[in-house]
Order: sequence, then C-alpha cells, then structure tokens
Amino acid sequence: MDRFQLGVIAFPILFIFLTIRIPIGLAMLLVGTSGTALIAGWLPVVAQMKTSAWHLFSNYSLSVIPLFLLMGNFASRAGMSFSLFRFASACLGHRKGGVAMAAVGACAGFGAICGSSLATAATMGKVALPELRRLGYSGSLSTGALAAGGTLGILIPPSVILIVYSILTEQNIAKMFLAAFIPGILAALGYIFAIAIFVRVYPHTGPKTNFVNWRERLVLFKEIWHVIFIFLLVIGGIYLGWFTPTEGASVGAAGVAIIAFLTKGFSISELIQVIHDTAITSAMIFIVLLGAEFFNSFIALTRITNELAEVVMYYKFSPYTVVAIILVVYFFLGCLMDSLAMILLTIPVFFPILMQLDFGLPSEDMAIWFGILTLVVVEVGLITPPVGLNVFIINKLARDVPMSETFFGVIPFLLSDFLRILFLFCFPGVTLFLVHLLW
Amino acid sequence: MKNNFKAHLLQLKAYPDNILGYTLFLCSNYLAIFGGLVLLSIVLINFLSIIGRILFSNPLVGDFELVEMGCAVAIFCFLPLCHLRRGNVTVDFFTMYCSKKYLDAFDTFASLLFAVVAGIFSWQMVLGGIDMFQYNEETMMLGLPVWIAFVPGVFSFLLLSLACFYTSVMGFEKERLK
Repeated sequence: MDRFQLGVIAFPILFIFLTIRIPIGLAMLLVGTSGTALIAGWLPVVAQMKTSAWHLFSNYSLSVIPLFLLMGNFASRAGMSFSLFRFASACLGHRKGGVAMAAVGACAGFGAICGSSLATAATMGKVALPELRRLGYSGSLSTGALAAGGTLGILIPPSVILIVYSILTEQNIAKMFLAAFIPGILAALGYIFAIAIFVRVYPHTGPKTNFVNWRERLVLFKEIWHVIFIFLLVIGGIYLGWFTPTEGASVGAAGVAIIAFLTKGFSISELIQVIHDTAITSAMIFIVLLGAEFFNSFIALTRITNELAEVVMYYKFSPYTVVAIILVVYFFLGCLMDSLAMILLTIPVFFPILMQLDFGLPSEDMAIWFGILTLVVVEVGLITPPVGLNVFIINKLARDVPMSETFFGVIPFLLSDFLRILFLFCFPGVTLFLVHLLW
Repeated sequence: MKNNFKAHLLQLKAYPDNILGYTLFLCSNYLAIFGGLVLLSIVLINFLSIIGRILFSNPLVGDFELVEMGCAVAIFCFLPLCHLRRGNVTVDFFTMYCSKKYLDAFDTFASLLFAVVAGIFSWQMVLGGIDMFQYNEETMMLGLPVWIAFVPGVFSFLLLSLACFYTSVMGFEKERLK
C-alpha cells in the first residue's frame, strides 16, 4: 500500500475508533502513530514520543489556552453571569420575549470574558433558566435561547477555537479576535431578532415584565462595568501590542480573580473548584492537541493534501464553491463531532488547498475570512441535533422540558445562524472591516 | 472541622471506597492542585513582567521561558485528573442506544488502550529527559535545565497510565461524580 492509500484509509479507521467511544485525542494518536510507523518504521515514531509532549505543552502560543480558561472559570464562579443577566433584563425585560433577549445579551457579555461555549451555556443556564421559567416563558423558548446564546461564548473573542485556528494556520491571534467581533455582535442581534419573531408567531411564550427606569439600570450597570473594562483591557491590550495574547490572558485572569475576591469574598474551596474546572478542560484540550500532532505529522507524510489540491485544481472548481463545500462538510461533521477535534483534523488538510486558490483577496484576508466562517459553522454544530452539546447542557438544567421541545426552540436560532453564514460568506468585507480599519 | 474542610476541598466524598482507587484519586487531585498553583504563578509572572515593562521599562528576565516551562508542567499535572473525571472528549452519538454492557466494554477497551499509550509516553519521556540531561539542554535566558520539566511529565503520564488501568478494571465512578 502506498502512502496516499494509507492516508485515504486512515480517515475511515479513525471514524471507526471514534464510533466505539475511544477518546478523540487517543484515536488520532493511535491512527497517526500506526500510519507513520507503516511508512517510516517505529523508530521515528518512538523518538517523536520522547519530546513531543514537552514541545507541545511548552509552546508559548498555546499557553494562552489554560490562562483564558482560568479567566472564564473565575468569572463563572464570581457571579458575573448573574449581574450581566440582571442588567440585561432590566434593559430589555419590558419587551415581548425581552427576558429571553436579555439572556442572549448576557451570554454575549459573558462570552467576552469566557472562551468556551459549553462554559457559557452552563453558567448562563444556571442563572437565567430558573428566572425565565418563573416568569412564565415557555420551555422551548427559554432553553432554545440559552443553548443558542451559549454559542456566543466562542464567537465573541476570546475563543479557544480561534486560538487553535490561528496557531494551525500561522495567523495573528489579535487580528482573528478583531475579525470575530462584528460576526459575534451580528450573531447576538440575529438571536434577539429571532426571539422577537418567535414571540409574535407564538404569543404567550414570552410575557413582558415591568419597565425598569434608567436610574435603576444605572445602579445595575455599576455591577457589570468591570466585565466590560476587563474585556476592553485584554483585547485592546493585545491589539495595541501592550502585551502578548498569553500575557493578556494572564491580565484577564488576574483581573477577574481580583474582582471575584473583592465582590464575593472567594473562599479557598472555591479557588480549588476553579483550579479543578480549569485542570479538566485544559487537559482535555491538550490531549486532543497531542493526538492531532501525531495524526497531522502522519497526514503530512502521506502527501494526501497535495493530491487533493491537484484534483481541485484539475477540475477548476471556483474557489467559492470549494469553500461552500467545505462549510457543508463542517456542518455535517459538526452534528457528530467535537468542534476542536474537527478543526484540528480538517484544517491541516483543507487550508493548504484553499491557499492555492485565487479568491481575489490577499492571502491573509482570506485566511481570516475562512477562519471566521469556520468558527461560525462549527458553532452551529453545538445546537444541531443529534448531538448538540449546548442543547444537552441546557436541557439537563431544565428537567421539566423534554428534549424535543428544546430542539424545537432551537430552530429559529438555527435559521438566524444560516442567514448569518450566508451573509458572511457573500460579503467577506463585513468580517474584514474592523481588521482593515484598525490595522 | 479541619478534617471536614479538607474532605470538602478534595471532594473526598466522590472517591471510590477501595484503597487503590482512593489513592489514585487523591494523588491526581493533589497533582492537579499543584498544577493549578503553577498556573497561578504564571499569571503572577506575567503580571510582574508587564508592570516591570510598562512602568519601569525593565521586563522580567526570562519570563517567556518561565511561562513555557510552567505551562507545560501545569498541563502535565492536569492529565490524570482529567481521565479519572471522564474529561476526555468522545463521540457519543453512535452509541447513544447501546446497552450498558456494550458501553462498559467500550470504556474498558478505550481505558486499556489509553493505559498502554500513556505508559509508553512515560517510558519514552524518561529517555527524552535523559537526552536533555546529557546534552545539557538549557533555556535561553535563565539557563534552567530543561530535564527538570520532564520529571513531573514522566510522573504524570505514569499516574495517568495507572489511572487508565484502574478505570479499565473498575469502571468510572460516573454516578457519584459530576
């Protein structure tokens, strides 16, 4: 069997491993090492194991991940989600479906200091779900809004997926974060719009609450200004070159921790909880990264990417068709797979192909635009059946709402997602606007 | 009171009853907390470095390598706990309707594979660490010997391997753990 064939059969084998619940990182590692061993023998594989874990874990660019996770976990335990939600519902609650809109807005705010969608959904769900149910919001609307709102966690920077994408494709993290900003805001607005339509089609699903006057809103705002401040400090500082992304994440983690201690009087056991949460998520991500390292060095050996690129060139597909096909593949993969693993598995194959096509854009712009599109499509996978992780998390929190109702509630948000993807796909300028404006 | 506090801190209630499992959980827990403290020190180092740079235009010497080394050590320390708490990402879609018998069989198989792989890593990292020691590999600015970071690495992979063997025989403590 030649290298190319090995590369081709590696993917189905990997999927078989995944179907029998072998952890993704482990499966990639096994297929990667076996494949490399079949091509080059066991010696280089074993030699790679000597130091690869060290080189990967001590990669300066990757050190930003545990630090951003630490920041998000401090924020989760510090009750910031609660203040955000209270402020948002004071501003929007008097509208129809307003408290659900507030939940989306609070998710967006929380997403600005948390880089993970699951954490955002879980944290905001705990805070907002009981309140929505108490006010008489229907099960489908309240769970749907929170599951969709949770995806703003990775859409709005900082975002773990974007960090990994920038490292894989050697892009500037600060530029990627900047580019994600407008699509993130668009997402939040789209969700709010979706709620507005939903409550008009199904009245009584989202009752109004009392109007809150501006003075009280100002009082509530005083409890969330530090969230905005930290977000601006971290992202602004990285963008202005005051500090590297890793240092920015440290500043954010320190800032959130200090606020947590000052406002809530953090106890040691809560600190340990934060460490535990960070430990488990970081280790999970780095095990997948380690597996991907071995898998990708095998894929590079097979030269499968070059062959695929030649096929694409030969048939002279239009570049935009290729991107569209890739996005459709991502959509279906996203229904089944973890988003991080999906990015790690596919970007090393797809990205070099795309780089050889002419989009009429500078290659850096193209990389940013494609990265944001990928991020948005991957994020949709978190709320699509059959395994939308956000849906599961929120549904677990709302014991009285059946799963079918939650998936029904997600539909308007999915439609809004599709419209947004189409919009971003047709107008790359929307994504690139801030980058061009500020760089 | 003090004992209660410690039990709460380490979530001792969630531990398995048998002595082996208990020890494994305790070790992984302490290791993860140690890793967390290392991570917090990275935050501190970065903080000092930024303050030094902006206020006194005098950055901390070797902050990059301290961050790199610290981060690697922290991640190493997190590995065993992640496995014991079932933190690893799996694709659950295809096995959603499988009976418990099959699920347990799959878990056992995956744990066993993981145990072997982690064991190999631990062993290879011993060799890697010895290489680093023999070639006198040092960090650029501070001249810290790199092999130091391999010690927690080897230990963590070893503990991870043991933890995987444990879960392959005893299963995960899924009901009692969140």
